[in-house]
Amino acid sequence: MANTDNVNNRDVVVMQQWTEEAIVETIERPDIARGVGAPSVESPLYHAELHAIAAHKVPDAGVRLKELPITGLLTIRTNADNPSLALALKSVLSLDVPGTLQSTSHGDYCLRWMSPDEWLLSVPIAELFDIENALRETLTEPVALVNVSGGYSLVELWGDQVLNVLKKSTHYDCHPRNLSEGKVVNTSFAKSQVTLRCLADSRYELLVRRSFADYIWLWLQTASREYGLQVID
Amino acid sequence: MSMTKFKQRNRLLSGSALCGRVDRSRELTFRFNGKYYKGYEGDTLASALLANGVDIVGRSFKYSRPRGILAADVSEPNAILQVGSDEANQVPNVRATEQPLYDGLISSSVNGWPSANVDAMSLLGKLGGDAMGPGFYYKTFMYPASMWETYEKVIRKAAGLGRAPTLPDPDKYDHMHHHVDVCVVGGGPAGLMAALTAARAGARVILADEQSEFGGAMLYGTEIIDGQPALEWVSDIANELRDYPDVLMMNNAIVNGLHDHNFLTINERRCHHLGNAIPPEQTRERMHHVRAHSVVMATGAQERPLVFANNDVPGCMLASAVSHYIHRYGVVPGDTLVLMTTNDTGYQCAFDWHDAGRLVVAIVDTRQSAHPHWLEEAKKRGIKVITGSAVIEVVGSKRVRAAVISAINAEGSFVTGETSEIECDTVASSGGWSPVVHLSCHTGAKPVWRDDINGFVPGESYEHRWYAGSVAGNHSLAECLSDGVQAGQQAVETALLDAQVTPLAASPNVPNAEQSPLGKSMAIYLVPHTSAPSRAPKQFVDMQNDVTAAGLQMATREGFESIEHVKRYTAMGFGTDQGKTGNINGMAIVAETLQQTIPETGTTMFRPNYTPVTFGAISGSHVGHLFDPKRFTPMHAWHLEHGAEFENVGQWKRPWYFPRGSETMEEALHRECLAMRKHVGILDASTLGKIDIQGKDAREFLGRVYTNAWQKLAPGKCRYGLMCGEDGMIMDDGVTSCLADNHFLMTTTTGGAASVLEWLEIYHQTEWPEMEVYFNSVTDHWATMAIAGPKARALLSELTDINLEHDEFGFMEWREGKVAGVPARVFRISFTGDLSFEINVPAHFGMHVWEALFNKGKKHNLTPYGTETMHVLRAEKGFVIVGQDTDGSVTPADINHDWAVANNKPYSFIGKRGMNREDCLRPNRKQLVGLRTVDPTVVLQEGAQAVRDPRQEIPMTMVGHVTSSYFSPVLGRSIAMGVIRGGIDRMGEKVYFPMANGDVIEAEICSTVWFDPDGQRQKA
Repeated sequence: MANTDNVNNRDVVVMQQWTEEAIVETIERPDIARGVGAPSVESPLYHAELHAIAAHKVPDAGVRLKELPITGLLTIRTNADNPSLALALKSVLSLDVPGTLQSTSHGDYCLRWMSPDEWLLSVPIAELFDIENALRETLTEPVALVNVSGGYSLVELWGDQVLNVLKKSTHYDCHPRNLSEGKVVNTSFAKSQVTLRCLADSRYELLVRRSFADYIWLWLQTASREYGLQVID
Repeated sequence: MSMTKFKQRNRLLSGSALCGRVDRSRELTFRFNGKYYKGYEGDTLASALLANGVDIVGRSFKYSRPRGILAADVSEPNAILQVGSDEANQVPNVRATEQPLYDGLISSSVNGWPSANVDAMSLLGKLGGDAMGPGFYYKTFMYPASMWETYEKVIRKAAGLGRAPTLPDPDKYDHMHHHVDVCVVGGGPAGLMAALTAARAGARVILADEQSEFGGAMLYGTEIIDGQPALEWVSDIANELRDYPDVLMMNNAIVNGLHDHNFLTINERRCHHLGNAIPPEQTRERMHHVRAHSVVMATGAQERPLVFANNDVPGCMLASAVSHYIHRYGVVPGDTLVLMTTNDTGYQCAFDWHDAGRLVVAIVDTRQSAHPHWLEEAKKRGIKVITGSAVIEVVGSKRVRAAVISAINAEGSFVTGETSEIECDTVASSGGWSPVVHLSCHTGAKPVWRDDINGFVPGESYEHRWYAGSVAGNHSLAECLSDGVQAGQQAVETALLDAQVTPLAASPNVPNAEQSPLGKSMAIYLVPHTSAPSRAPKQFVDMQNDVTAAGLQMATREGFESIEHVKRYTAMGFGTDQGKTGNINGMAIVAETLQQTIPETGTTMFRPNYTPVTFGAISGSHVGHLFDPKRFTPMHAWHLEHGAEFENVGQWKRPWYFPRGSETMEEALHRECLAMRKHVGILDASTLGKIDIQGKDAREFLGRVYTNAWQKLAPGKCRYGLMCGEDGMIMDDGVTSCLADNHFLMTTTTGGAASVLEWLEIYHQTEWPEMEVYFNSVTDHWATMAIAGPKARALLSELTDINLEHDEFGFMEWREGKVAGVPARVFRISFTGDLSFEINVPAHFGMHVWEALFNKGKKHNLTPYGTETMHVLRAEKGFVIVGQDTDGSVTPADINHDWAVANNKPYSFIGKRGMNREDCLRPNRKQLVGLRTVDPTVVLQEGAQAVRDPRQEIPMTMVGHVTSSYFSPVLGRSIAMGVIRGGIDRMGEKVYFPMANGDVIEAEICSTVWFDPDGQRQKA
């Protein structure tokens, strides 16, 4: 028999009302018909009903948060000096291979340096299949491509106080002198990890593992509470 | 309550020159030891108590003597109180000198049981001069050791150390991480100038000060800077600093630790002035984790009290503390003052007292003479100065009644004349200033003694650290200001150079300070008495731990010569105040007793933290629902809606079982097991670790990390693999599928996913970097649902375009196709031993597909089951769970899995050598077998120990234990697995399980496979 000490009968508190004071702690989700007709898509924070929370306007919010819709994500692994990667990315997506801790963007496409032999490409989900095939056709050297679109939540955070929220969450130095526009770091975030990218002054993108998305959402609510958090639909 | 009851007898009138900086328009009521008092906004609890003439704030730890407030700052040893207005917000051991007053504050003495004024310990205390000498605990209570616990309870209760709240802390705490060029510790003149210098250069700066206002010692001084009162100057500087976006100014922020690489921990008390009225969005305390390139320490100095007989009687105070209360709070803590000083700075206390309109009976100067300036100032005020003399003793018990004065010799080692007694209610003393070297010691630098200032200064550091002002022994205001500029300049230059940032502006000019001249001070710590310390009334060194001069001398007589030994033997410096007022005096006394210098006696080291830190600040926001991340699968909401009970597996929340109505757990498991065996069940398996492995060497890599062979696994096929550590012990297991010739998908146990990925990376990066292979976690990408049971095929066929026919899609194969309109990978692998399909879809489609299965599943009686049913089902088939049936000491052979070990692979595999060690090959190892109880209704307890002879005397020879045990609904009997010595060769033999209640359960060793031993069902 499993250890009953581990069991938390109902650890998730459901709060129906969004108020400024209340932490929205919920994993319940909207009651709609599922499993019939066209496939329904549930983003990692689907259950949090962010659209309903967004309707609640927070005056003078110092922090704004938006979960992006499911995005096509492709992990690319190869030797950094593989010349065919740069050629393929350029011809298929008009993207340059970013340098260490950097990202390159072109329209809706963004390529992030993740580690010396790893990059993460984001594209609109509808285009991913064709782009993956086009890359495979163009690449002349072996490159590992892995579709990880289902594995992450993409969250954007911005506002006057967003830097303070980051200071509470990660020991990485997020000051603009160190984390400038376009820079990407993989770092700790509270007791989880994120891929953090600076989009502009006081605007950041958090790439969060799907199974940790609820934790990060709870954490961000707590960390931004004193500054006011406005959810954007 | 009458007005007179609330009269603040020691509060100076508003409008006078010395009315303090409290806000008299905001009167606050507070309670101390059951009585109500009034104070003002801006008071500390200590200043408010003194304003109300409260003399006794507690009883001493060991002797139970009445104690009053000694200091005005962090160094306070006596006013350590219990604060809190209800049970949940109780805080023990709060320094009253640092607790801002708020309306409704409730406080009480921590020492003194049953009360501070009438004390059960006083009798023992008064008799206890000898009974409770140094080393008392060791001598009295350690023998007999068995009695120690009893003694300790009595002593601890009587002595009192405050009490922790019994309710959860309702307040919130958090952490903040900072990276700065320069962190300045201390907001006095030196610190302010250092911060200003760094800020003007364009640096990122933190300035942290423990007080509620910046200014340091100028908060209670009379200095003039650049022609204006010092505090006006402070306000200008602070305002300029606040305007820099990259400067963080913090008050009420104690730098508690200075760690390697200039990592500082700063505890900011954000709401201590609010009591219970903390707004919900505010945290009570914030722990700042600061990574600084350079640190400027401007921590200042703390005044030393002098050690004389009965120097702990309420009314004995530090000279600077008296000035502090007068200037900052408009409180004169008495009517008649005798000041004893060894230096010129002490005189200011008497002048302040006089200027506040109260009587200074005399200034007693231990030196033969003071600087003429101070004598002149005293003369102007008509204050009598007695030189070459000392207060050798005070008279009184609950308050000073008189001071006993005597002439002393020039060295201060003995009294030279007749004693005389003069009446007074307050004796202030100044023994000189000790630089606050605590932080400088935290990384190991030993402080260095300087005879010219009678104090330790920080030792050499190899980090980017600078010391400015009093902490470096430069006590004058002018020196502090110029030190600050200089240290700030050096710190910021180094930092900006390394950060490759061009400094913006030149350093500020050093402000012009007007300060009275200072003459030489006298090195005296223990004031001589007509009797030797052992016979004189107690001369206290460490008030919080009741360490006396006589006690220190006795410790040296008993052979303790190293100051570290003396400290531990006498407990000097071990209180919550860490001996801030007592340590230097104590070392001087030990040095003198041993007839050696202070440096010869040793330096005292300090460790973090500088002051006690509440647990809340250490844990920050990582409490409650944020204590540990909870990971959820894409179908979690469905499980909640359907009443699942959850089990923690690593950080994952997995459905444990799905009770219906009022079902018990046993009933639910019974139903779930049978539904799966007879119809079809579904398990959310999304938590299983999934690693995508690609590269031309992927296959070879698998062969090296798994014990079995992978060369011939064709695309479309799956295989079970065992992974071992170098020691040959089973570490993880799972099914790996061949997606393409150079592309595999590995599954791991739920708990092992991260460590297995790390394991693969370590071996790739350190041992076989030449192999072309890439590992990517895809655990979160896939939602995984396993449908199992005789009707699994019928169900799935309604939703997929994949041909599920037996001949087209065999056992241990996988296919790609659509399920419920969604691209999916379907694997025919089974952890139940029944026909099973594991459906994988991108996580964002997980809920859709899960619901689609249930939409079609009703007619097949599709039943969700959780981990507990999964455990029963797999045990019926003898499938092991790594970590339950194995424990890190089990080889593949031990679980009868030799079939999964390919010893003939051309390249070795991890664990091959380990599992072939002599001990791993011996016959009598514990081996995994089935255990069939003779009584089929009895379910063995997991962990139960097996013996061969149940009649053997205790201690019995134990031959193994139960690892898994359940009741199997489909078999209608109990089933179990366990490890038994030599078990595989002992099929049919009996073992016995003696239970704690005296029962003995008899069981027969059998095969681990209980159900469908030929495996027909899973291949159906």
